[in-house]
Amino acid sequence: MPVRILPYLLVVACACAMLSMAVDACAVDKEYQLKAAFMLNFTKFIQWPPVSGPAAAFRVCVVGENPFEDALSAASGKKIGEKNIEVVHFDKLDQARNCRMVFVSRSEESELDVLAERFPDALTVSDIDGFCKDGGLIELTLRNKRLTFFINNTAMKERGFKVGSSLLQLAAEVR
Amino acid sequence: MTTRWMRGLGARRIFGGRFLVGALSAALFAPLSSMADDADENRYLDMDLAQLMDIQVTSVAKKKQSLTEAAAAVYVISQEDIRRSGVTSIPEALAMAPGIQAAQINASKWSVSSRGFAGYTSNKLLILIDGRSVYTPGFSGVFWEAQHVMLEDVERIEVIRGPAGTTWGANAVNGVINIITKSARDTEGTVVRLGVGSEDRLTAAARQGIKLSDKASLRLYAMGEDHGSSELPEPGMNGDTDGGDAWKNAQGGFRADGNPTDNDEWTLQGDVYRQDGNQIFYPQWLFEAPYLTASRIEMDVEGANLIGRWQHHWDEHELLTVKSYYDYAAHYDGFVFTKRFSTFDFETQYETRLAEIHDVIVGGGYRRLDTDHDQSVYLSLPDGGSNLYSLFLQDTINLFSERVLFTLGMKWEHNDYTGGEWQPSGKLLWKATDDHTLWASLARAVRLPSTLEREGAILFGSQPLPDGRGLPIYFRGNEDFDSEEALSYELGWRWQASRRLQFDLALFYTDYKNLYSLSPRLTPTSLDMMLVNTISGENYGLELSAEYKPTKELVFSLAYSFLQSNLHDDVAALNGNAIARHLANSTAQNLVSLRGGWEFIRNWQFNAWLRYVDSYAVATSVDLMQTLHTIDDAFLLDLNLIWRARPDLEFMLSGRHLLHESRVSYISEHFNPESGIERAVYGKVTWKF
Repeated sequence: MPVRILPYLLVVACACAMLSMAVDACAVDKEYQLKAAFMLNFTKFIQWPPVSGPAAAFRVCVVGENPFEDALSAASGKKIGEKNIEVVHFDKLDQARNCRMVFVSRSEESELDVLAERFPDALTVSDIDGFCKDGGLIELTLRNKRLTFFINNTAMKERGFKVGSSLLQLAAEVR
Repeated sequence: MTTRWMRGLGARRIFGGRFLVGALSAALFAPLSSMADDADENRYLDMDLAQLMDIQVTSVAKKKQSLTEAAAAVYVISQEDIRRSGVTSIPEALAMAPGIQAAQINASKWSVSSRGFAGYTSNKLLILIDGRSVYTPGFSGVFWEAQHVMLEDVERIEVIRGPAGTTWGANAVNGVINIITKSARDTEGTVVRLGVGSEDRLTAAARQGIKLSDKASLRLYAMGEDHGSSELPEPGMNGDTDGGDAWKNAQGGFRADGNPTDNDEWTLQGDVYRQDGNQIFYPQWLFEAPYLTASRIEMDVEGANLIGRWQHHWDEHELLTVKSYYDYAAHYDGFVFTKRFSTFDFETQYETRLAEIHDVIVGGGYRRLDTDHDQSVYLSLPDGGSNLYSLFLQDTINLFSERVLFTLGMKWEHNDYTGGEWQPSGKLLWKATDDHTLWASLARAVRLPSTLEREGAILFGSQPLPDGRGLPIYFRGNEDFDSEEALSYELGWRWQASRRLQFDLALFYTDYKNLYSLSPRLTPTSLDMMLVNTISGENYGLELSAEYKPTKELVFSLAYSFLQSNLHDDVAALNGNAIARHLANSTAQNLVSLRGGWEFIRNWQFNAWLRYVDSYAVATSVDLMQTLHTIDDAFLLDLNLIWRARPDLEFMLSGRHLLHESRVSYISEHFNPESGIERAVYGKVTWKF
């Protein structure tokens, strides 16, 4: 190793060591904290189609790479009607079971064509561009640096969801 | 004023010292404040929807410039592409892009060119690393041997083919490549990588990312590499075939990013590097018998840079950017030459939307270059300073509810050699449907004369005279040498057939004027090959890329390029059309790259990269570029296996150039002998936590 650069590398190494003591491992991306809150809010305006068999909990699934870290798990204790919310993460789309709401991560972009078939009675939500166009039910998107959403109301009706009119009014686009 | 402080920094032994220590102490004493709120608490969960829709999301304050909205031939090499390919250097990665020919000259040097005009100093392609130009105005070209980036921290490489002078300024005649590293906000945590291999003998890199506060992050990195030498196709001076071009590099640096308010973003970053290498200097001309020889000399490089950038957004459309950098680079080529460059650059740009449909950008810039060279009989280049001023104006008119975008732009640049240069462009983009985008572009771009072409000289030969002395032949600069010009017509089509399949096609026709050639002139003491602007002609071709992801486990990427180059020298001279023939044949007519990745078992990934490179020709100064040597067409194959043993631990075993034991893929026009790139195996482990 050339001698002249050694002192610099040492300085870098020391700086690394000192600063790693101050490492702050927490803090979730604000964008996904907001997205989690949006998802929880949707449940207040939407009436789900009845499902057969008793389910103990209202399961919210995150499929693909989890962008929320812990931002969504804080919803776990909360209730929807009688049921407790349960947040479950699945690496792959085909592993997800008994979901009432599904957040499709951007990592699953190439899998969207099987979505409707895979989750006929779950509310599918994603921030993938063109999600509603490709059969998703709610697409989260950004406008003017603020989070907003599109609703695919035609598909919602087909599958037996009832969407409150105030949610439709808040949506940036209804198709 | 600028000159004085630059000279201070430029002095060899103290270079970078104060600068780096200063930067680091600034980083160390920056407030390491305020841990974020408790991770389990999401304070937005209890708010209602109307409230939530009023909160600004800071991370995407930038106006989203999607690839599908660019009226240009753009290809993006992603971090995932880099990771899967197993490449260990930037030029190697560039071979993934259509329209780009990346050919390795020897262990450290490369010829990287876009749409023709290959060469060690391939001079029509501009390269920027995080907005810092690494194009050398002294020689016109990029010294790839000095450009190293920690590949794990590259976010993407944008490869824009075709004239980009309106936006990026002079020398982006046939394209611009933007190497963009990740924001420090996206690199929190530690990465350690260790690799060993037959050619990349030892490579090591470590990065530590730190969250300084809710609003600022920092990363520090250090890396070191030790590369083996190439192989000479024929035994050299000592009877051995060692290419004598092994090299080592040690590099470190930092990047800090912050957003003090929802509307402001800043970046401060810097690198310092030092490289120790060797090379064979050939052809080395003597003024007595045997006239031509070779020497083993060193090839050392050192440098440092510092970039600062600040952006303020008023809203989605209104944005002010201020950017400045300082770059110092020194190359020590043994007794042959020492070149030192220092560049200071300042740019500012303001964007806004007027009358609802006009997106207007105005910008200006100033660049100062100072050079300090040690001359020798082989190469002489004057010391000095030069100034570059530029002004930029662009209007994008959004028509038919933003389905049609019409962009008119103009860059005016003033340089010390040729005065003011205009680089206008007109572009039309039509989003025909959600899946189809069509675009057309007409643009003019120029390449400015380098210091060498104006005021320098390279010893190009030694012709034995009757009395036994050698008559020196010089490649000599010409104070009348003018800018090279290109006018390019392009058409493009992008088709997103489905989520799994997409295509991108670009067609181009470029008219060139005033390209460089050599014209002989006999003086009482030498034969001078003077730089003249006598070559003109045209290049046309097409580039096609496609990406297909049939399942989540499989991905294929195809890139195909076709190029036809017709150039002629207006002045029939001693070496006739030699330079024009070389320029026109320096690039493969057909280039195919097919990459496939397959996750055959969970966490086990197999990647293959097959390339076909058509034949092309090289010429060297040994015979004044008279003879074209053909590099035969070839298939090239790289394979690798990646095992993600744990989410934080990854192993890779990779084999490169597998179909050839040793292959010459390009020969430098001067300075280094023909060298073969050998088959290589490489293994690495990457630990992220």
